[in-house]
Amino acid sequence: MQITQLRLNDFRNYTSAELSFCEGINFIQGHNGQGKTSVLEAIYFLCLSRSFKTQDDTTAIRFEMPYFDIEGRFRTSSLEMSVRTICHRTEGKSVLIDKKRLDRLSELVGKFPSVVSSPEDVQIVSGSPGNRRRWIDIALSQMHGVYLKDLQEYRQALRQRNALLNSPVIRSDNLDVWDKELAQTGAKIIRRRIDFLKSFSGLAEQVYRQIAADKETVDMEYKSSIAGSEILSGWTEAGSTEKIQKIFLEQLRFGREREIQRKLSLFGPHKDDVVLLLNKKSIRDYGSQGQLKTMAIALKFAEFLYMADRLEQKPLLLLDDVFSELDWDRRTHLMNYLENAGQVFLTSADEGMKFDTQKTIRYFSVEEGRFLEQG
Amino acid sequence: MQYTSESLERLINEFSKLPSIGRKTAQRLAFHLLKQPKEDVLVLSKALADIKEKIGRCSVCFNVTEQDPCVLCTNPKRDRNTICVVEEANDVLAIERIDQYRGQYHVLGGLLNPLDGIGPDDLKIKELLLRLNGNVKEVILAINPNVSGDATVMYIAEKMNGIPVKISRIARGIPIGSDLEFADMTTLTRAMEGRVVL
Repeated sequence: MQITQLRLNDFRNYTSAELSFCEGINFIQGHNGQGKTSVLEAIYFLCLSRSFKTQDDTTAIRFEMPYFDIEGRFRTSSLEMSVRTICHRTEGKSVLIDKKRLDRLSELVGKFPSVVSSPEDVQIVSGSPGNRRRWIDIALSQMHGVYLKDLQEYRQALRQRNALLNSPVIRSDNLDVWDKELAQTGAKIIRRRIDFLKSFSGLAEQVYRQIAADKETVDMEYKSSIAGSEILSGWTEAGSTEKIQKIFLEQLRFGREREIQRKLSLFGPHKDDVVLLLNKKSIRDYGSQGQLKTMAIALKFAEFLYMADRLEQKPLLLLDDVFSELDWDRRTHLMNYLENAGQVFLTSADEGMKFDTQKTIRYFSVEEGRFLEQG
Repeated sequence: MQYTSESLERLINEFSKLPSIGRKTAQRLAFHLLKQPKEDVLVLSKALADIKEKIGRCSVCFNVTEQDPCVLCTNPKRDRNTICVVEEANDVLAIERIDQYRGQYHVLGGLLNPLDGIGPDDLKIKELLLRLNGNVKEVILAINPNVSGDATVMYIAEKMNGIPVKISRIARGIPIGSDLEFADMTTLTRAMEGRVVL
């Protein structure tokens, strides 16, 4: 899959811009603050109707403008489609595919798979658990449409259950059914995440070793709020959603008083975490700056390879300022991956950087929200 | 803007409070009525007044009715062994339209929804359980497949635990006449999960 054209109106610092891309590497150069990342952000927005920079979509609207309007032409092996996203300050956003408005934004997710790697990704490795949950949820949603639907159902059940825990009178028979509802929807989420990590961690290790040119080990442990990891390793073998559901319910029964006291759901996939281990030690606690950065990049490249394999098409690869953070050796190792990627978008403040690659490559330079294509 | 008639303005205001009616439609309706003969408009206004004066809830099934118990509950031709449980009275209409089901109904008046402050006591669940005397052999839960619906179904199933009455929930899956290719992924997944052995 590739994006051939992009139009931006009132997006970040772009008043109006049109760009056409090549099928290989699109390399966007420019000084800081000129609008390099915004191009990747716009492409990501078209693929997932969200930003990788911010949770508040309206910050991407150009200063004092009422809305942004972006459009891209996508080409897959068999067809061409246009995707347009309009985001109003007050009225929210809408997505149109071939001029037809989507009823639900979630219909978009997975249609145009993409993976972004940016400096913010270090948060996935060293930040709070919410960062890791968001990463894994977006990856899984792009690969399994049902995962996103299950996640939405889980969040609904969670909101209902929290409302009940927050109400003045809590009937235990009423809480019982919301326990079950939470466990039923939540178990599916936990199951998918565990299955994903099981097959993903080997790939992440492989990529990490190649970038770092070292024999380090990478492991991933799903740390759940509903049970300890000893029990967890049992599930991964059995892999049974029903079993997880049972353990989930037991935890809810066991923790009921605490939840009623706190008026909040304290157990479930919304509280879970993934522990990333480098050489059997938590990288979050023991990793060096360099290791954290390498891990952040390795996770995204591994995600790319994983998705390309599962989806049988190559996702767009958006690399925001990835090279500047790495030494020369690591850059070279990363470049090897790009040879086998599909369409790639790269940004760098490093002017005059040239690539030695078999792929087609197009250079752009950007200055204050305007483009100069350099051929 | 300024209206030349206060009565007209009031009517337009009232119409636009109705679901799926905007300002423009409300105006069109009001001007339409203005052109109609007086008798016709009075028939309409009486019909409106009657729904509040004459209609109440059946004390057995809690469907809307003008007599208590309602015609469905008193009809001797209807099967007394089966109760179909629905969320709202308009669901009864939907099932009656198919002309297949000949049993009794029970209208819950909503679904469990803590966000809206609706708990078991706000629904006619106790009343349903009281109806499960010797006659009733099966309870069919015709309840929408969403998070609130699932919770309500679980609640009722839990309460019926130990009562020797068969309990079932209507199937969910691919709409008849549609194509598998066009079914959304969730529907298709649920349909696979709920597949039937032949």
